[in-house]
Amino acid sequence: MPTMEDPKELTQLDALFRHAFEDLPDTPSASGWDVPSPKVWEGIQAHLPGAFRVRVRRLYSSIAIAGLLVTATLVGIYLAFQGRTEILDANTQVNRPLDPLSGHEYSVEAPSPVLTSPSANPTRPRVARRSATSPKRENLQQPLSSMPLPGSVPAPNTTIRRQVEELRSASWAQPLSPLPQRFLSPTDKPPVIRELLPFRQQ
Amino acid sequence: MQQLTDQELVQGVLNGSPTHQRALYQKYSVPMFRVVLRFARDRSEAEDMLQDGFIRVFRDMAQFRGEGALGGWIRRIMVNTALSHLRKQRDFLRDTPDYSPFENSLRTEEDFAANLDAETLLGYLQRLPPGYRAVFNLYVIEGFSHEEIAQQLGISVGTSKSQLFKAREYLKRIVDKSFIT
Repeated sequence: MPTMEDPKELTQLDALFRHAFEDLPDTPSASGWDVPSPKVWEGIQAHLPGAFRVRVRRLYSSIAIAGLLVTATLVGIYLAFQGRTEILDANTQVNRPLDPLSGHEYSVEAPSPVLTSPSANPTRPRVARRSATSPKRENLQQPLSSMPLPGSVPAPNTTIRRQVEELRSASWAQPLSPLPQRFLSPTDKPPVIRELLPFRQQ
Repeated sequence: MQQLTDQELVQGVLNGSPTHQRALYQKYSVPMFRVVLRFARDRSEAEDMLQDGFIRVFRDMAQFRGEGALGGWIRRIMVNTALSHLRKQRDFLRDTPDYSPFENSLRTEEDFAANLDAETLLGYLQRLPPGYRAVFNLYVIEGFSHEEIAQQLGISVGTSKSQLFKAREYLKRIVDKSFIT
């Protein structure tokens, strides 16, 4: 029965381990004790220089896409606010209150054809309802200078004109007839009130 | 895939070719896993060492000058990586081996002879305390001197010799016990 008490046995012990591990074949063992699991390679791949470049490229792409989205959102918000302002301008022009007695010529124009968005339709109830109740809307109902588009012709406002003509020809609008002569003194004195009140003389 | 030479593998890895990276890993993963298994206490720790070692290999491939064998260069990186892992352990040099001989694993002389393969001896090694195991591996299998071991592990030469003596005693007891049983 061999023992390992002497130095020679210790040397044999060293040789036993050395040869056992150094003389292994290149192929993996049948039991698979010397084959690492696939997750080792997966972990290595995550740290490879190529993978780092791919991650950096993906990071830059994500930043670029996020920048485009932010820019598109800001442009959309700007256009939406600009379109709403044009809608309010158009509604203010159409619903501007008219003073038939002033005789001022109003030009009632169609909404601007620049409005291309579906939300720009001035006849939509949402816009009309808001324009009737919003305090901002009242501020915007002041007469604004309209800028007729090139080639646009003001629509004839015959109703307003007819109303103005009828008002001018009304009986109460005609100048009063002069007083009869008997009410006037020869000296051009002011008319005597007493003569206008005959019941007092009686 | 056709077997690539070490020089082709090195060039491919330096060019960032995933194919060559994979081929290099497939060629050297098994022998390097055997190396780190001797320093680790189990497969899980050995796989961590292997992963970190190959990450260093791919990262530092430009430092390989081609003067020696690629396998030897990778092996040195694996040993250094394993020692780095061992140095992080608090009980790296503890002196109280968890002695639990293989009472029931080897019963007859035929069994002893038949089971003294690398896998069995690896089981013996992995039962050693980390300090014993590291010094025994470095001195007996890797061929380091005590001065080199002391420098690698940050210990004194006397500690290296002491650890080697205790490792041998421990392994001798295990083998004798297995042989007698």
